[in-house]
Amino acid sequence: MTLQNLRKIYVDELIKHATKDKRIVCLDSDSRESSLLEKFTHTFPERSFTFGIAEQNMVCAAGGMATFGLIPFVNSYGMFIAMRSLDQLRNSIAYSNLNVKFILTHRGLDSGADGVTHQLTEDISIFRTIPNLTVLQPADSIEMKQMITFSIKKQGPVIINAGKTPVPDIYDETFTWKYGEPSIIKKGEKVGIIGTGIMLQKAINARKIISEKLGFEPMVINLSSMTDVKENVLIDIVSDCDLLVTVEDHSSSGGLGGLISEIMSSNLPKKIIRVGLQNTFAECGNPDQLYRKYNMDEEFIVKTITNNL
Amino acid sequence: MLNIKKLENYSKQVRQDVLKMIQNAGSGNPGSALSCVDILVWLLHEEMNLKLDDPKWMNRDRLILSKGHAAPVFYSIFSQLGLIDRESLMGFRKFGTKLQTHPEYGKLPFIDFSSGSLGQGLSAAVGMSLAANYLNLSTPRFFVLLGDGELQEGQIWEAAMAAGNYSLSNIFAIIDLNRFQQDGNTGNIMDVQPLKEKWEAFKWEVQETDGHSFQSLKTSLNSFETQNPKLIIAKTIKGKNVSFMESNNDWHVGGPKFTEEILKQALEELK
Repeated sequence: MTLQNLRKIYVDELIKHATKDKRIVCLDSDSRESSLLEKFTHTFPERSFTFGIAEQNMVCAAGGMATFGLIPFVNSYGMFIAMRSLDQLRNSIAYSNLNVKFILTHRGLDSGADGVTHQLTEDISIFRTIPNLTVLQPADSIEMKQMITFSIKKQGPVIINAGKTPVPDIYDETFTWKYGEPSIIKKGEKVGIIGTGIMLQKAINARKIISEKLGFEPMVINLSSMTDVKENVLIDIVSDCDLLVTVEDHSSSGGLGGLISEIMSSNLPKKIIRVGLQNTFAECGNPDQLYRKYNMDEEFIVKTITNNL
Repeated sequence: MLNIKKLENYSKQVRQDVLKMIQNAGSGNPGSALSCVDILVWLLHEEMNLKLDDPKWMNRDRLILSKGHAAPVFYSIFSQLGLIDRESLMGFRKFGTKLQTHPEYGKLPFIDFSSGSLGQGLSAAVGMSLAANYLNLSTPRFFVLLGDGELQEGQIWEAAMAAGNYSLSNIFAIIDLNRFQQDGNTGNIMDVQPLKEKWEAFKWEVQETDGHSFQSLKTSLNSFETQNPKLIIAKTIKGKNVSFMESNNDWHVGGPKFTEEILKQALEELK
């Protein structure tokens, strides 16, 4: 299984676009190395702007650039964009619907050994509630490439999670990602596991284990858009499920689980169990250790389904 | 050659407008608005390179009201420039208005950036300056009005640092140094002095001047010599030209005490 580094995929894709589109510029907060931006900054040094470790300034500067018709891509650790410069993101960017794109790296327990201060597990819940934001969690390199193209075309702020740990491709080149639409990755019955981002592979693995243990295969659904979800499409996909389990590298409150709960409760109430970080800070460790300890791994998904059927 | 009389008349009308708007709204910051009137009248009526019939002209000068609660001053001057109706001024801070409490980008022409959450405007200017340089637009200048209390926000210093590092010579920040903020005298709350030395340490060129003298403001602007970003520290009086508001921080906010009777007294002084 070849693993793809989504940060690398993003940068390669951005270079392709930037070669044709002079509006694209890159901003960083001493985060070129962590965002794997060097290839872009070497190719387009005149379009690469560092702000040092000063994210609030960077975010508003990006807004200023956008008023000149540029398309600034702001690159940093998720925590420092989502939290340190949240006032700026909301009041200077989102409020004015400025055309700034944010690439968040190193989020969730996937940040692993970087520890709690770098494990952003609140971003979906924060960003979902701010108007004018488009929030995307690519499942793999196929979605990432299409999301970059989409974000350049879309007017307004877009936030894309570029993660840290490389991930396998779930889709192939024939797949067309559509903003707002959940997609079935694995067909199934009785149980719908709705995952996002890096947790999708765990959902797929859990399905395999359930199939062996319980004799049926849950459906696995990817939702990579955290905003403007096409509710009818989701409801249609999961209508026959007896149980939904949401899986995210995020707090169990307010993120994907909250989003799905909100949609279903207003339309087709179902039992929904939210797998995520349960009201605690984690610690440093490798991601697999953390997912295991904090009840976010395949085994816990299997246990959750087994106990709730 | 400055037409001082003309500018003074503009300022007088702006002060009258601003007090009427704030009193009518039932809330707002009269003292803070009055201190920066002359600076903004000078910039918008006299100094800035604008085409009033082409608000999207890319080579125009930009003005960011980082001290966003001075918005009524902006709106009054816009009405003098014919950009909005004089009648619409009383819509300030009211439901459904384009004259939002703090300037909102896109709501009116020549609002170059939204503001209201302090400390963000200078960063926007940094981005605009970098963009203009990248696009080979050599003529726009970027004026940013800052409050002195606002200088307590750390982000201001991030922006100052970036502007100095990038030698953004087309940024002109102006501090409305009225020495007060919400809870009292700035020196007592969290002293921001010494300002000249601090900004020079951040590689800015600094002039200090009287923020109520059009000639002094103009002379300061013309005195800059370097390729550094530029700062004018404009000494002003909070509540300027209304005797009971001058340097009286009770008038940081209007509120219920700002009755029609008090307004009448103030307008009488401003005749």
